[in-house]
Amino acid sequence: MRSIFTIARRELSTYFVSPLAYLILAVFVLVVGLSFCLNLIAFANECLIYGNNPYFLQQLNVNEQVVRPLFGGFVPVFLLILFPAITMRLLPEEKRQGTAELILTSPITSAQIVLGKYLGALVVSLVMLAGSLAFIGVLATVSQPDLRTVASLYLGVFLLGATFLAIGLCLSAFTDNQVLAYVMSVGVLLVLWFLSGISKSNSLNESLGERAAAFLSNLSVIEHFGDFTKGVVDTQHVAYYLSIIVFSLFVAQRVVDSHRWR
Amino acid sequence: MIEVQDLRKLYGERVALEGISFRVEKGEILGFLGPNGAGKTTTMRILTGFMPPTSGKAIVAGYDVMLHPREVKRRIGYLPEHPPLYKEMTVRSYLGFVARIKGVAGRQIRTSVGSALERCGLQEVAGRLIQNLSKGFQQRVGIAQAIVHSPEVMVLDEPTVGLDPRQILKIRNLIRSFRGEKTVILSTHIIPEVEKLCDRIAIINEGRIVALDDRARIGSALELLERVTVQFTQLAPPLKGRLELLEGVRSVVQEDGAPNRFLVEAKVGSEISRRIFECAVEERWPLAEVTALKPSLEEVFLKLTGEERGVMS
Repeated sequence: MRSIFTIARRELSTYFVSPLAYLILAVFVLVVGLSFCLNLIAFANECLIYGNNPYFLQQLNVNEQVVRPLFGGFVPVFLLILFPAITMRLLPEEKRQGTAELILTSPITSAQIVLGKYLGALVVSLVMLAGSLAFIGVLATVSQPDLRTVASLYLGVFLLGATFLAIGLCLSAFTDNQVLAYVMSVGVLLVLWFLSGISKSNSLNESLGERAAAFLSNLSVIEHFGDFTKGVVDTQHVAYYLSIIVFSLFVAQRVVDSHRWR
Repeated sequence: MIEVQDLRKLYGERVALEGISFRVEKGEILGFLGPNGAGKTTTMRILTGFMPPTSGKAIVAGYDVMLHPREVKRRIGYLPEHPPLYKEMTVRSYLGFVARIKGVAGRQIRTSVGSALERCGLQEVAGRLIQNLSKGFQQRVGIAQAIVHSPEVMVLDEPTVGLDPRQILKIRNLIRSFRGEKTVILSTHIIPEVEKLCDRIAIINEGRIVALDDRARIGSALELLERVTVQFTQLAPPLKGRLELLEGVRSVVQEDGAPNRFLVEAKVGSEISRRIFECAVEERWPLAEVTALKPSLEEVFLKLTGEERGVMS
């Protein structure tokens, strides 16, 4: 356990002495902030126009029109682009710098190495998400967002992000080239994302059979995200994300271990 | 302290090691000498548990490398050919990190790092980023990294490569200070380095140990010739012929530009110097000096590894 924290701590300090973490953070907060502002302004305009009409007033809802589109629609896409940039250097950098020889000749296991690296990346992603809490804070001063929905959204975004990081880390174990690691991660995540379209397409449903199509679309990372945006926390979805994370980390550990035995 | 038995390593089809065996006693410094690609790094990587052998056995500090890798890794300090440095860290925090993953107890980390810094002469750069240090200092950080957990065994892969002569001297003194305290294996392709540093030498070529012993015995085992130069105060014509008649002498050559000086080569063990003196006394030669030349390690090395291959610095 101590070794895991040692690796994670070093990983974190590397992120925060290089511009990478700050850049990712800044881009994230800037773009989410921009999108938040636009949503909020649009919502405010609608309130001004329709606010006097009691029928429309019932339809106006800050959760539905500001919070949900932002964290349910825009942020996941953004994580897909940014998180592979966090994970791409985790393992390739060790091989490139030659520090893999130090790590692998130290009395620690490859599982500790992988978990330490993952933990480091996870903390960076938490810092990012924490940055976006400021917008919720702003919203809470001028309106009453439903905090239960916000909490379930954040849990969903966190699980989705943690899954992206695990898949990215796993793929970075296969190469010593960071660009390759990034492109592979984005590619695999996109494929996993678009699997959700399979069961919605009639022709694919017919040719694959309904069961196969349902199975494939259930593998999709985004298929399991929808309920969180509605304020529903279903253990089935939590279990899906956790099992993808465990599987990815397991594969990463096997790949790191295989370097010892080549 | 280190015992290696019949170690073999294949990289796919290519044979890197074909059956290496040797022992290193506690406190000894063993030098691996060999051309690039001879199998020095492969042997070291197996000893440190970085990769497994295809077959054979390696025991370090009483533990089998294959069966108890973690026990071995705790007791071994390793400097790879390229020092494994996190360049964005400061020297002190880097050494602290290494001490932690090597399993040094929390309370002792400060003192371990402090003594490694002191021993390697790094105190004044302890707070600087590794990437801003000169190559000599980076190499010293690499050595500090290998000793920070006070290992019993140290494995140093080409510790002085790419350094200027002053830095080389400092690193050598540092390694010399380990003699008697730690068991050291170091590899190099610089011949004077092993001559100056090592108690024993293993010459490796094409995955085999072709000679393993101290320097003098490597020379004699190879039937190298014993060589002396003989200087006369004046030249009497029959002297050259007389030298050639001495027992064991293979050749007598007059040296260039010195008509009174001869290079005599004789079989090892023929005690050629003593014979020349005896003869000179008996026959009243105008002898000025007799100098014995040691067989140089260059000769041994080139003879063992093939002349055309031995492009040495």
